[in-house]
Amino acid sequence: MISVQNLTKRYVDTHAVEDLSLEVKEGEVLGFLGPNGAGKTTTIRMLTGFLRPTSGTARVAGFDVVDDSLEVRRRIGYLPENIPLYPEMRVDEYLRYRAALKRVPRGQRQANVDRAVELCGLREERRRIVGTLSKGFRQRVGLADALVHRPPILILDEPTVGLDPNQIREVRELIRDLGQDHTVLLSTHILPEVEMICGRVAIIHRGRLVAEGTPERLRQQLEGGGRVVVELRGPGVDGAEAGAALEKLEGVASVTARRRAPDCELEVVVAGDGDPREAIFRLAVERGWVLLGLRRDAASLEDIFARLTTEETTDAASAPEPAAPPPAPAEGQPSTGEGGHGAEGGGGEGESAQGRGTAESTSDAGGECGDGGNLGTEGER
Amino acid sequence: MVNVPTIAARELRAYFYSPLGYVVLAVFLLLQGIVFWLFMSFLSQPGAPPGAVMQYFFGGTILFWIAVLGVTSAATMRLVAEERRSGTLEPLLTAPVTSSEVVLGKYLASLGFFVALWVPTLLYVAILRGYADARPEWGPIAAGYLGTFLEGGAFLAVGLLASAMTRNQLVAFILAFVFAWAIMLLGVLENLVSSEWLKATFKHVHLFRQMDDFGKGIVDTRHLAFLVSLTAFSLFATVKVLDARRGA
Repeated sequence: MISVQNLTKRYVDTHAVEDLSLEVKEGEVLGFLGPNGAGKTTTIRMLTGFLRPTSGTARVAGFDVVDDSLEVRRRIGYLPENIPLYPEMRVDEYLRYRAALKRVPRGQRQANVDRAVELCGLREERRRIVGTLSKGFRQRVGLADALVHRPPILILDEPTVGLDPNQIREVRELIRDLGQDHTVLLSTHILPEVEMICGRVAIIHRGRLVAEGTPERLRQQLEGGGRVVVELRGPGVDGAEAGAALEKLEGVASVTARRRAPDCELEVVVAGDGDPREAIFRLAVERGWVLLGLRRDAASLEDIFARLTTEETTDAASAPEPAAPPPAPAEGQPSTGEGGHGAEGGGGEGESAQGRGTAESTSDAGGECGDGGNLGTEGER
Repeated sequence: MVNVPTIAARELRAYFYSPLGYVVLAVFLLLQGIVFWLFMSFLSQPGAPPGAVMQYFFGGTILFWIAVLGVTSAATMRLVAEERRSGTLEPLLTAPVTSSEVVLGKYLASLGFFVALWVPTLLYVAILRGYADARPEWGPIAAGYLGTFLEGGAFLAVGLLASAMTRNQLVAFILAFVFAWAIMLLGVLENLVSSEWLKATFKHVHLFRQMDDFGKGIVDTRHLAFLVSLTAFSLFATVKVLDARRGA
């Protein structure tokens, strides 16, 4: 339904979107994920005909977004970021106006408005003046506007920003319901939102597509076999011995100590598709250690996201980028599993993702090595 | 062009949803009432120059121009600038409407508002008809209103262009006012140049002269052509400005 090829938007001094290719299939809910300033809104504005691409093409429902912009716009229900509305109009008046503007035949307008009002839970607010509505209701009016001409495609730009937790839940449920019979492109910088709603994810960073796939596939792709967390008790586990022994096992890429005492907790990064849990068990038996815990730790999308964006920052650090601090080398033992990616991490935009805290980042040493800690290669202390 | 009436209706209603519409209306009518009363009392004095009140009312003084230019600049300053500032331009331009539909719809709304401002002045004609000894002549009055409509229409288009160029309403107002006065004062250059053909050119675009003609009941097609071209050019430029902003 939406097909983007080599789409590029350049401004005088910046590349907002760079060579972006993307596909949204009919009936699919695609999560368009990226930190603030990644180029999500710019991409969406090119799809909806508000901005003209510098180069590249995009087709929506078979129509080119530049040459047949009008046809494209007829088929899209668009919820812009920040939901700009006319403050002086009443809710149903506004929706009737939008329905007329979107060429809903006169006889159908009232029925379409009624349906959108019902879907978005605005029945009580129909007669209210838009300027007096709370943020949550404005969001619903925006959604009702996107739905009022019954478009097959919905493009929603950060639909849950600025809502309280209850409202966020309601809006997400609504979008999930709409996803059953609409093609949806949902832009967001909130990771759990994507995991909850979207069948597929495209991650964009600094205007480029950095990863794409189902949340599960992305996990596999990026993590190999993921991580295993081992908890041991017994003689010698508090030295470096346990870690060194585990690292020699087949299928183990690297080992990091999370905790030394009272019991030792180790994080094992798995190489490839292997599963070293059996070998770990046998090793523990052999050395006489008590195995207190042994579990796979699937990477959350959040983790992937943090990794992707911080890696990108490292790449981009060679370009003139005032925000990039000097690379901070990860102290301690070197990484083996991640092809050297984890050795340094640059700051900038990784930080928002960083703040969401995966298990490692909380155990990061005093913060002096910055982003390095989130890359699964944190040094020993 | 199916969306033009939809947009025009919304914009026209927006004038009467905001205090601005009523403020403009009230100030305008107050000013026009004073002007009418001044001419009435002046022309009723013995020894006053001969002439119909409404002839002076249209274009007789600078007051007419201050009213027209002020009102057209104020009526158009909001149209695009406000949508750009508040972001509502995005849902508007991403709906299946063309830039020409948006511009034409907004222009017609401002024209409707302008006409609504002048409707109450028909009362002056009724007063003249009811109380004056000499019956007013219909021809010059109709020509005066036609001239006002065309001049106003041209300046509304100029004001809309100004509004499309900025996101600040006050800047839009000042731009429109300056543009309008620049066009007005082109005609005054007539007396400052020596070249014959330049003199003739400026004479044609001399808006004071044009309104004098309309007030006397002269409907000159050269005036019509000038005013309609100015309107069409400004609207066309506004569409181009909106389209150019899409590219940015």
